[in-house]
Amino acid sequence: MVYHKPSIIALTFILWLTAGSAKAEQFIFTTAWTAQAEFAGYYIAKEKGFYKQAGLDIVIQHPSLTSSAFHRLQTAQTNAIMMSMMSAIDFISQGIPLVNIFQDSMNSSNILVTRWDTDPMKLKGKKVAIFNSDPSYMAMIMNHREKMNFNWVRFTSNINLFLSGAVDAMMALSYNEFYQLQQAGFKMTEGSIYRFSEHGYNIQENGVYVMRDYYLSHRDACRRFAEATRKGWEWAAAHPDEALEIVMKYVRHNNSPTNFVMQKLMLKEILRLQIDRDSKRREFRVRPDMVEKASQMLFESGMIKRRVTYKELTGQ
Amino acid sequence: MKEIFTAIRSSLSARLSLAVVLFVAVIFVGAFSIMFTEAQDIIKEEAWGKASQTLDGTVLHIDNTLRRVEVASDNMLRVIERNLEKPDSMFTVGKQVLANNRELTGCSISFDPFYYKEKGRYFSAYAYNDGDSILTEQEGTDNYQYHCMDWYLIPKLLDRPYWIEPFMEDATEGIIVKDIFSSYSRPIHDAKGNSVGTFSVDIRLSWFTQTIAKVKPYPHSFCVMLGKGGSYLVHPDTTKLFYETIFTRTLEKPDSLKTALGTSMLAGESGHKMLDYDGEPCHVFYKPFKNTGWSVAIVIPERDIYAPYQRLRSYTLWISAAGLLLLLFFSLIIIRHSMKPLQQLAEATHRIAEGDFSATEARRLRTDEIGQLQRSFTKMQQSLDTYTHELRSETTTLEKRNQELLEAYERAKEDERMKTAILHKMPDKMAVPVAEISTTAKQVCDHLGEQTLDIKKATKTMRDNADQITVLLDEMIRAAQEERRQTHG
Repeated sequence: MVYHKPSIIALTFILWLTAGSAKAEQFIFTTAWTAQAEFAGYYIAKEKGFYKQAGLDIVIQHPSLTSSAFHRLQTAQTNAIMMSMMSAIDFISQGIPLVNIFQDSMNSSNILVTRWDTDPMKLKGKKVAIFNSDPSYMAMIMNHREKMNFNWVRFTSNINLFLSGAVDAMMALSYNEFYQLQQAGFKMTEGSIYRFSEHGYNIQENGVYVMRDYYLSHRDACRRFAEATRKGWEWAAAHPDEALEIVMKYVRHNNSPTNFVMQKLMLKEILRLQIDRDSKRREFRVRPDMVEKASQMLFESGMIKRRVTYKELTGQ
Repeated sequence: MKEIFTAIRSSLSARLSLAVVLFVAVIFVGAFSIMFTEAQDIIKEEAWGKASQTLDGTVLHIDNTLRRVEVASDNMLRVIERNLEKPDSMFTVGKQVLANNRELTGCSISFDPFYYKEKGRYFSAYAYNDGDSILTEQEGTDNYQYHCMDWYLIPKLLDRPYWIEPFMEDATEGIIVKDIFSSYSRPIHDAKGNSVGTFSVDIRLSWFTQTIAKVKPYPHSFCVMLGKGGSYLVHPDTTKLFYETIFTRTLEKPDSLKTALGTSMLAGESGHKMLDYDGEPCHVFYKPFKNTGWSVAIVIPERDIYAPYQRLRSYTLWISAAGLLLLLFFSLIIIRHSMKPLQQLAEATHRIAEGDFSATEARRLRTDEIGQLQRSFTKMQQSLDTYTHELRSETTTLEKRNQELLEAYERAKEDERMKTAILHKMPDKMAVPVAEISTTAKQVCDHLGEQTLDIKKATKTMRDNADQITVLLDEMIRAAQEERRQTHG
């Protein structure tokens, strides 16, 4: 075979140009909340170029009080959103075809915190504050199972409602409001805290969901997104200090009402919640048994009309 | 250094001066300790008073302003509750509230879901001042679910007025409005006393935070204001505002003093605490606001409070040190001057010790003890001089006599030596004439008076033998003299 040197150089140049001009696939992802360490893996995957390496031009958005992540997904403003597994099951049961493409959490972070150092199980008929943005399925299931007859008070965010004494208890996340309460000088004893994960309610929480249509047409992009995100989280676990710096960059950019100490505590707790209790590893997968359990609990408490299966949730 | 100590040890005036300075220094230390302690207490009390007055003034000023808002809200609430059957009139009421109270920036008259069935789930008459005019709008939507907002929920659930925790307005789509607001909210009741909604007025807190931030009783002091949850509402480090609480850093690095301060402030207590701020000891004076549940603190670095005390102490110490040095200097001069006669006496004593008993120069003698000593010493010196002269004269006489005795002694010794030499040199031949003389003398004695005795012959024999002995003796003397000459060289 005879090679012509100029031809090879021209071909290489053309290939380089082609490669350079090949546009990465845009992928818009909306987190579950404002910028914080809860989304460290995504920020890192973007900042460290993991998404780019996967051929994705990622856009990370954060919801606002007036524009929820789900609203953005419904109105096609985003390709993927983050939500809890129970929310996803609820939506799917209502006929909204969501598919999980990546699972962050392996454990429940839900906590019920009471005022006045009260035993949570003695709060029958009392006012309990729950997030308006997320239906606090756990609290409702517990309310149904334990016949607590809670008087629900839906609130938007932060802990002021609880601190004012207007409610007797509030739902908190172990990586967020729990630390906010500590940060506000609120004294909590173990007796006044109800950790759902310790009472048979350990259900996986946040995962990334897309609409089924999108999933079917962009399976490969979804797979690459999941792989890159996983790399981002593994890097965060291996380099928590650097990860925190990246998180703070996003926090500052988005003017999130938080601080370094809160984010440090949050990242530590988020990374802890990612470790599966059985395997003791970060698995980043939806557990079939948890889907079944969550679906069963929601169904039994009358919150969904039909059970949702693992296959449905994962688009199989 | 060793030389200095040696010099001090060898100088009475130096030792006396140092003793005086040391004694005075001890008195100074005692006196200054008492003075400094008292001064410190006075300055502390003054600082306490100053900080408390400043705090009281600030809190009173702000409480009064906030009270005006409360009164305005109270007055308008009656109007609202009298017009509940006319929902659209709420917009007019809202405009009226803002028109009558220029410090208010917004006003929401919000009702429970479906309170007005014709209005649907959301009905909140919102009036706001855009700078030029007062506008109104119905603010409740699915995207703005006011029923879940603190300003709506808290007063309704508590069924009493409530100052909402200050916030930075988060406008739509994440646009941050860089202004700080708080809302005074109170529940609206119908004629039967049922809570049907919330009336809330907004007040811009920029003036408020600026007023507090300007409070600066000391050069490096600053003010901190905490919300009900411990959030910094006023802080010199603006990055901490709203995002950080007084407890935040303690979660990472426990700080019992800061925690105690935060707990006390949030409990609505007034007081004072000491804690390190950025590694500097600071005094924190704090006081709560009457109605809002917020608390304000003045943080004063200790160096600021005690700056006058430190200056006083510094001046006093420097002046004291200089005074002690001057005291040492003048003590040395005075004592040395006073001791000069003693020095001269010491020198005179030294001269006396060396045998110089001559009288000192005539000088003016003092009348004090040293003068007496001088006189006594002079007298003693003169006595010694006289005595020495006498002693010297007697010594001279004695020496003369001694010399004579010595010479006599030498002569006797010479005679003795010559005698010994003569005796040693006497030859046996002297024995013969001596024996003949002796024999002749004996015969003369034995035969004295007898006719047989030839006196002449005997006399001649004895003379001849005596002459012989004399010749022998001369020879012996010559020989002895010769020997002595040889001996003495």
